[in-house]
Amino acid sequence: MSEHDTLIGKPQSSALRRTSIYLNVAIVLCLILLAEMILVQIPIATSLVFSILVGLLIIKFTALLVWFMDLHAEKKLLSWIFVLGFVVALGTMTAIMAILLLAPESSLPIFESE
Amino acid sequence: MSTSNQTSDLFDPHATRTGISNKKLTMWLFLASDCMFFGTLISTHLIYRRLAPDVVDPSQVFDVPLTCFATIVLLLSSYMMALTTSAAKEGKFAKFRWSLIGVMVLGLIFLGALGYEYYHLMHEFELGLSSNIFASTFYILTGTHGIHVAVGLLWLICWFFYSFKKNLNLQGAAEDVESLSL
Repeated sequence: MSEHDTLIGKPQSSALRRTSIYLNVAIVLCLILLAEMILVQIPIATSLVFSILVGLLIIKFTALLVWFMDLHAEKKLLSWIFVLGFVVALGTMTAIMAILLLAPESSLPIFESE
Repeated sequence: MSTSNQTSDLFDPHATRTGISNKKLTMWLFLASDCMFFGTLISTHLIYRRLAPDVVDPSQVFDVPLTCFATIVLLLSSYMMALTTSAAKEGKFAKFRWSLIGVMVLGLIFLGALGYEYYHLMHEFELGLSSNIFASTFYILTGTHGIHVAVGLLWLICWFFYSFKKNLNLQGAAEDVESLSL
């Protein structure tokens, strides 16, 4: 595979720094995941567990976008495009779920198992 | 000198007003629309879990360690893909190909884990695609994600073989690899 390898003028330290950042982010994300696994086993209030899990989810999602998908190095327009799509999705999800999940039981169509 | 630069910009076939290539812009627009698409599927699943509460007990059906394993595999594949993009930007063919192989192996492991989970649900709990509303929405949600991964895997395989093309300028094609990584 090495016959095509090219030597380039860029400093090696830049590539090494980038690789080290990727590795650190990957380790942090795996640690967050392990923390989530432990958290769901602890017998504490469900609402507290849910809130912490949502917080950790936001951290993981942002880390993936910013570092692994290199959004921090891109033009702002791309961030806005993604954020716009995400906000529309989240807004629609919240609205639909608020309507259906907060509705009184008696007003909901209940599906019975066959 | 500035006139000649302006002239070359005018005739640059890849120049755009935003300064972002059309390929990259399209890929980010696709990702934004994907958020809405998956948002709909996730909402549907959660809503039907509320509307059909007695159909299945999720805590009995789902295998949390397996799901965590699959998530770790996906995270590692994202890491390997970031390394692949980095290698393409540096023009290093060997590093590019090995990282690409790593992503492909991790993608296959993820699909294997998904297949195992489906097998487990279908045989142990007799949950088929049309068994009930819980199973239908679950299979559609996770199956759509699986199809995304499978299409990405095919794209990676194409890139692996394409990287052996003679006189390929890997640094020049780094933006295409970046689109793939997204």
